[in-house]
Amino acid sequence: MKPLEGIKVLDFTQVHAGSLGTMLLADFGAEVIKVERIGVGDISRYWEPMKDGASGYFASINRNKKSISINAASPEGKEIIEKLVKEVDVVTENFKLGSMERMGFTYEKFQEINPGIIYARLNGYGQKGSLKQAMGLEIQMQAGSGMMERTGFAGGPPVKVGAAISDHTSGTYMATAIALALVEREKTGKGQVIDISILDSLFSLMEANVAQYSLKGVASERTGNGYPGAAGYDTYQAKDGYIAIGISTGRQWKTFCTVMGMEDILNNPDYKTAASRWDLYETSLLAEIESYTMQFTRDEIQEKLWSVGLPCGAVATPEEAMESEQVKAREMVVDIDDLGVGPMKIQGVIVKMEKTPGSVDASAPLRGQDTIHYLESIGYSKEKIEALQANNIVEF
Amino acid sequence: MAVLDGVTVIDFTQAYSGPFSTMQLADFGANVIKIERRGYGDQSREWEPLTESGESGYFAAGNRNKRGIALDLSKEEGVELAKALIQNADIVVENFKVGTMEKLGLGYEEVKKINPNIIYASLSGYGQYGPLSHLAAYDNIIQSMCGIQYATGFPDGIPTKVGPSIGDNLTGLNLAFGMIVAYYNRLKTGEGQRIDVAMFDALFGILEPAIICKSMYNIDTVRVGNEEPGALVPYGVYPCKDGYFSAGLASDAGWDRFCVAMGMPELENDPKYATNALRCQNLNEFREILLEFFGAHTKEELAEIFTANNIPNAPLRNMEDLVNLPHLQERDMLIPINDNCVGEYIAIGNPMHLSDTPPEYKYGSPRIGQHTDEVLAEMGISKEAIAELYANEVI
Repeated sequence: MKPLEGIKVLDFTQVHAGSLGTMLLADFGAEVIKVERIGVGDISRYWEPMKDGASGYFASINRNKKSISINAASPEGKEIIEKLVKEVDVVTENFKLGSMERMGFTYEKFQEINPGIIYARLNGYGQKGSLKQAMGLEIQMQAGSGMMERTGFAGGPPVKVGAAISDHTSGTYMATAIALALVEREKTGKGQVIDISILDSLFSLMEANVAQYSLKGVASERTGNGYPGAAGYDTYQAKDGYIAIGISTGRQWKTFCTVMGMEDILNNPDYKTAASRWDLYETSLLAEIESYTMQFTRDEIQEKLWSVGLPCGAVATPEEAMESEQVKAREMVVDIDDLGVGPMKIQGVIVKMEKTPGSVDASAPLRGQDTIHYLESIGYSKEKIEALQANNIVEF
Repeated sequence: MAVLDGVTVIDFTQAYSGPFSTMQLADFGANVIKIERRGYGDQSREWEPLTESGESGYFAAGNRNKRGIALDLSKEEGVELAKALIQNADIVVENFKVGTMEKLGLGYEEVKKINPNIIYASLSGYGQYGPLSHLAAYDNIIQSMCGIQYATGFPDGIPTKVGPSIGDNLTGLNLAFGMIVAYYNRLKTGEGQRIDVAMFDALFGILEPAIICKSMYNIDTVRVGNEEPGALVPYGVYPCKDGYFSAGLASDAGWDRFCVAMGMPELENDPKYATNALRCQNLNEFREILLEFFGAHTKEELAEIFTANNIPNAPLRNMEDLVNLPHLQERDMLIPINDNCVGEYIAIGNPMHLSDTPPEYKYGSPRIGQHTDEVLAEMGISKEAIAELYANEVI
């Protein structure tokens, strides 16, 4: 039995962030009914990588979900949606601000139909605040939130994170907030509105930078691959690539120098204290360390350091990580037979629960594949459903 | 009433990842009791920014709304006290190296004996099982090994770590999701369980485009810097008169408006740039046009121009810009807190805005052992017994 079994979600989310949020709910047993625009569907159905007209991108974040395809602009379509709202626990959306209202759907309306409804909304800048009308793609969210300003090397340009961190962070917050709202509803019977913004979500990852600015009146520079004050906590060049090493204490430093054969560095009086090592790090020490790390492969360094309990890890390509025994043991890559793409691999379930584990049980739905089932469940007859299709109100 | 009112969390977590996860619970009313090592405290108490009196803003930023007690877990009496706390708790959380809680006598199997329905949440570098589970890990190591560092940075530069410690905070967020789902499950079934979240899994898990492209096309990841060459042009961040600015398109739609915004309507039908595919092919030439245009304007001018033309845009913001951004203030994302340790400072608000049960900021982070007496008294331990525990250097 999965923890969210019995929870039904009417899911208006499209593309990445919201779809990721409802995927987390679906992985843990919620019945997520994706509402797609008739004739078109989620626009990420057309996004690369594609095969035989089906998108792997869509497949990976819409697994375990159902799909109904409706013309929500028509009065009959609206009636169907209102009937479905009555049957579900949660409604989710991640449209541009005001789109749901323009379709005639407001929280007040949902509440009238279903007083305990939880309504979760996600977009770039949120439902309130002076920037709420602004539009931003992944890169603008990273640029505007501090994420890019913090990533990269001192003196160099800001750097974009090489993953869709906006979508993942805000989607995971949305799923977590929905879980909180479900707890509240279980206790009081009451639903509520959830307002998640990507800007807030990324800003919340700024660690102690805001505290630093408010306590010290300055923000430190970008710190590249290192950590200010810690000589030995950085990414170094090896014979066949790069390796990250995490030396942070004096004891670790000694062990590191010994196991790497860097006695001359260890015994150099200029590098005696942590402070002196940091002072000379950029000017000389970094290059001296690399003159040793470059003599070995990533694996060789990894073996040396791991054997004495020092933290390090080779810079791996995502594909190398994908093939690693660790990923296999943790089932972080899952084989599926997608209805559109065919056999393919997608990401696994991050949170491992002992008694109620999440899992990938079904591939992403074809557009409108469950339309008939859900229309029947709210009392529509076969004839009526066929008539609705003939009139371009629904699609199956 | 807060959502998690009445939920007691015994929090053994240290540094950043675990504290970030229990802060999510504390913001929504959970009674989070942070256990710190007597005489030492959480290691992040030593991390910058430090105030003149040596208190850490880093610690404060990750531990608001929690109460703190200091225990010596190397003493039997310390472990007994921890067990007594756990007996009446709902959730135990820890982020030690795998096996440490077992060595302390506080492993899941042991804890289950005294509280069979406990939710026991562990966060670690590589998880509780798997070939690397025994290894110590920091954020930089995990970013390196899972592939995200390789994917970040410029094609001709070196793999670049994501600045903020996303190995910690994103993993902490996933653990918070797991704990709340497990608590919801316990409300319905009465059963607790073990939760295992790994930094490696959490960061590898956000690299789905790489997994899919490898599996469908056998294509390997390349670093692309701040653009999307081969996929989307214009899409990037470029230097302008007073900083950096980003504007771009999600598809061919809007290209006409982009040309108008740049004051070069003739580009719309230029045979070199008329479609996204052409712009991808001729990115190097097109970039020169972008650099010249962005470089001739300020952030404010660019925001006005692109917004007027309905093009997604944003300036690159630094901490000063963000702390002074009205939008973040209006959204309760900048919270002035009078902290027990560092005094007045600005905390980052919780992004989960729930209309009826919003996050609450009741107090800042605890000083080491600040609530030891209070919590022990709540457990029904007498004044005399508490005095003896102090005398024996257990608390």
